Amino acid sequence: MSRPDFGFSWSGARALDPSQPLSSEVQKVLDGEPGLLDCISCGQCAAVCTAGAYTSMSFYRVVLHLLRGETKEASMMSHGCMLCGKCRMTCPRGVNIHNAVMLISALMHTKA
Amino acid sequence: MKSLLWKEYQKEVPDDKYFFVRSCIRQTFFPGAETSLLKLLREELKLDIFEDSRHTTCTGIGYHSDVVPLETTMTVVARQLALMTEAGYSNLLVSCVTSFGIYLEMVEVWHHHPEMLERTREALWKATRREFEIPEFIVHTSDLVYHFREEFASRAPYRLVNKESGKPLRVVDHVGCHYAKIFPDRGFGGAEFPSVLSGLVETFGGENVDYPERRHCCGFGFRHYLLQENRGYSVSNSRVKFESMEPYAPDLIVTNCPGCNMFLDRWQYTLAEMNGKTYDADGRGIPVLSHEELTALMMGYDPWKLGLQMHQVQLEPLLDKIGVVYEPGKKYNLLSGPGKGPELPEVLKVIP
Amino acid sequence: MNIPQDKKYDVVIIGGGFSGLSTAVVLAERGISVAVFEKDEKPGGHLSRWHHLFPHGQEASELLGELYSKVKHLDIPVFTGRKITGIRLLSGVNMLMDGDEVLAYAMAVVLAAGFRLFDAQRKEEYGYGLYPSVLTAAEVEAVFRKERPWPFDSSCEQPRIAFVHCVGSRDLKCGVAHCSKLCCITAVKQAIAVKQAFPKSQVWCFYMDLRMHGLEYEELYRRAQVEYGVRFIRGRLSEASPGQGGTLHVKAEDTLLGKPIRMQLDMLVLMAGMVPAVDLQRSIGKIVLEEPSFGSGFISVTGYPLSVQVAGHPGIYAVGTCKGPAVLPEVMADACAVAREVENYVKSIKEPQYVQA
Repeated sequence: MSRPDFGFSWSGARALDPSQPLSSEVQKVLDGEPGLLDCISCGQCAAVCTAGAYTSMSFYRVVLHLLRGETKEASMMSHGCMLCGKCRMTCPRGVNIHNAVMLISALMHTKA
Repeated sequence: MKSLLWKEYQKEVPDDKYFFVRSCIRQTFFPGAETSLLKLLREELKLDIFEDSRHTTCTGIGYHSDVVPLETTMTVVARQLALMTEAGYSNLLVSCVTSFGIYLEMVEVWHHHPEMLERTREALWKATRREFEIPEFIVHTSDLVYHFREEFASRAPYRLVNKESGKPLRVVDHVGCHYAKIFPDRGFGGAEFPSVLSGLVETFGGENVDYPERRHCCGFGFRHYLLQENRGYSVSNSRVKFESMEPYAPDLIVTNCPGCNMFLDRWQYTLAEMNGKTYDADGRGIPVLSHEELTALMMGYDPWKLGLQMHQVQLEPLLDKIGVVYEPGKKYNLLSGPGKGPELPEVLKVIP
Repeated sequence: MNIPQDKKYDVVIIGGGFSGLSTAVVLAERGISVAVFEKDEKPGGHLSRWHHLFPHGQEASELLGELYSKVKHLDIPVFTGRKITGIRLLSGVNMLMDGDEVLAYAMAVVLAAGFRLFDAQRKEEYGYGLYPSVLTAAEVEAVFRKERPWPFDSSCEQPRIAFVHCVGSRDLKCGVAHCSKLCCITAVKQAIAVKQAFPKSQVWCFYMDLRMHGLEYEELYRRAQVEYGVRFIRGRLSEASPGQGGTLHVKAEDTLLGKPIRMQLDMLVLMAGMVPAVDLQRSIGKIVLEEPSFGSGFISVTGYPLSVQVAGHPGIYAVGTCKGPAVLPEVMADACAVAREVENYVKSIKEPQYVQA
């Protein structure tokens, strides 16, 4: 049955709930790369990111999206990664970013 | 709770002699509400509630939509107060919550800017040759009902209790924003924890439901809602409230503002038609009542004379839970005889 | 002036907490006669109410115990339940007064009045004093000491607990502009302790900045993240409201993502900051110790970086947190520095030809 058109649409609430359990895919990524818990969002990775010059890619943001359960944003953003490795060289906490990006790509593939 | 700061927010409500001003929206969408309130106050409590048929809108809708300028609103409000003064009253009883906010706001501006008070007096004199006094008390009808709640509860044949299980009904209270959010010290309980509706519910035996978005605005907002293109923003606010209260399975929503009443009632239909989702277990929606409709219902007034058939979400499930005696067949009767009900919605279940 | 010998000391220390007693010990070891006056019935101050210390988890009672035994060993008189309300200087001698009564006479006075915790009720929106599930950090220490129960059903395996940093610190609206320095590390320490008590719990810290300035603090922060799974969210809490069944409903902002947060919690811990315990009303030859008022600062001292002397009053010194937020190693070092200065001062009066080493 067709829905009536009232001439307007509504927007959903934007609020996040960090107490919600993480999805199994996110948990698998965290288990596969435990270094992700080390991230302090210092932004060093984003500062040197090659892809970040042209796309919205910034790895610390991917980590934040993952931890808040926003898997679609995490996956879409990390499509831009070129695996150049500059971020991993500079990360002060030694996160294995290659591993994390590969895991996201394998486990949370979203059509770009 | 260790300390209950909001109990300090009390207000003095006179017992009698009020000049009553009506609400634009309440009269239009819920015509039985004001009639039954006046009946309750005049016939049950034997109060002196005076109405002047020459009174007008307070221009709240226009004022909050930037269509009516401040000075015009002030002069119109002054005229209302002039009618009140001429009739010999100094207590103003306001039906609409936005109106209540408007009267308080104008009086507050006059208090801080006496030159504007003078200009208003001049303007009113030039336009109508009337003079006015500032009322001693400005009281909203929910304040008055709250003030007399014990009286009503002691005479009420019905209680907000599930007839079969004996458990109190779960009630969501929704207080209009203009009631206490602008002037917290002019409302019972202040802005954070207004007690004007929750106190009424408790006295009638109901159980108040506390849910995360309890103090969220329903989204009415006047200028937001008036244009169809903007209406989505308003509706999203109501939707946030519904989504938040759904897990708590309330039986009833009580409001004191006519706009909120309309919104919370109407949008359950709209959202159901747009999304296919209703917010109660049976798909019939959560019934919405205003404080007058609730009190009148408790006092045994006939639901159809109260105008409850005009509500979008049907009241019958609630009436059955309380055990109110009513005649389903007479729901759509007109004064002249039987009438035809409206077209039924597709998603929101309305069982005739 | 006739000074009764039983009330005469070289140095009197006002305050019997960690800073006051530590200073007394150093002075006594150096042969200076010293007495300590403590307004509470028992000495030890805030430290006596703490459970364990950062960053190693040492028990507070152990540290205090060591200090008390030194005090006892050196026979330092500690007068409890005696409050000093003012100091008057007469003929070169400081008189310590309680109202009009003179409690002691001394050549030098050391203020060790310590700090108070910010009254969290002033941040009304967090509901401290309204909702039983909102505690301050000090009350959480009391829970660890088993002096009070957890404010939620402790048989619950997965409680949700959040810490709010900077409550009453860095807050001009509350009249407290400074950073209280040790709340961030305390929050991390308590978050770890909560995780140890409830391994399946969910613990969050809502911070503005994480100030891990001391030795091994940053390492503890990393351990909290990696070993214990404490989650840190940068952003303030806007309010705590009552949820169903004694839980709390909080609203906050995740500033790194730019999105609002709404969640239910079983307990909220407020990291209440350090504020002054005493305000000095100073005039020539007289100091009155008064209650601090809105926006009162800590005791101001001169001689940076050896900031130990109260300006304009020779012989009056201040040690420890009454000058500003400080952590234990800093207070310990401060006590030694103040003791050195006081000793030099006392000796310069007793032996005018004494030249400081």
